[in-house]
Amino acid sequence: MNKKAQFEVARKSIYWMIAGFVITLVVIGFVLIIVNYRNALTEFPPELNAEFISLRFTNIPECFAYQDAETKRVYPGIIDLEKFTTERMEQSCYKTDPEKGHGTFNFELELRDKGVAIKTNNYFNAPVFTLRRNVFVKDANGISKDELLIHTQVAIPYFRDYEDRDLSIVGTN
Amino acid sequence: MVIFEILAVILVIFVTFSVATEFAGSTNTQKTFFAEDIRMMINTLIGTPGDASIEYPQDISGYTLLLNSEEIIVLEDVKEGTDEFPVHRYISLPYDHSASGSVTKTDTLCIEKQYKRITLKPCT
Repeated sequence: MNKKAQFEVARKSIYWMIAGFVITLVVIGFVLIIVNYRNALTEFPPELNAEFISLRFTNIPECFAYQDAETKRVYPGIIDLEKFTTERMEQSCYKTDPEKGHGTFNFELELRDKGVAIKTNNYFNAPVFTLRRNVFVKDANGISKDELLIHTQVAIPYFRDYEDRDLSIVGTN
Repeated sequence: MVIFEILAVILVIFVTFSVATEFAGSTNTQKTFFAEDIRMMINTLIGTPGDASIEYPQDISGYTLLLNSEEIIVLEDVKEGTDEFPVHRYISLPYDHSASGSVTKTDTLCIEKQYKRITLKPCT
């Protein structure tokens, strides 16, 4: 092999080392683009899921909806203040897995006028958005109007700016 | 050297097409849609006082759906063995509620809530 041929082989080797690196990066980039596209395709707006989960808070007696003790009739949209406790939330309404529950929806419910707030077991004060509902609250003094703020924590980590949205669909008045 | 270069180009094209083909043939997207839809339907049923029933307005043939009190599992019906990549979705039920049921080899799906019991079953 003469000197020119040796030089040619060395040149090509360097070329293919660089080309191999670039081609690998291109293929990895292509795969990442496809994976991101697929994730975007299957992403559901978290507000939608949160809205459906939070229906229970105001509508069923196992959560906080008022139920007449005598007739057993349930009044959706009327919150019984006696039931509105963290213990009830965890024991009979909504509880996430103690270890993996931070990866799903968690909530802080706040009755704005009453100034009472309760949380689910994996709520770490990292809300992403707030749902608002007009409700009635029943306490020892009778029934009064209030607003239920549902601060929603999506999977942690979840990178999105906090948004305060009015997504009320279950107004009771 | 030229042969080596041609082989390298063929290899890159092959890898790129393999990735694209796998993506096109994947049913993960469809399984995720089913699982999310069913989770939202179950959460709606839970949030509804009293009994109710929903018919899922999509053809689910080719898939198996399982429901228990903790999660929804969607699998593709494969010729041999079981689907290696099932889609799971977590659900949280209120006190005294339970969920169960499965559908396979059918194209219709109904979800029923009857006295705090949520059942996944083929529509009749």
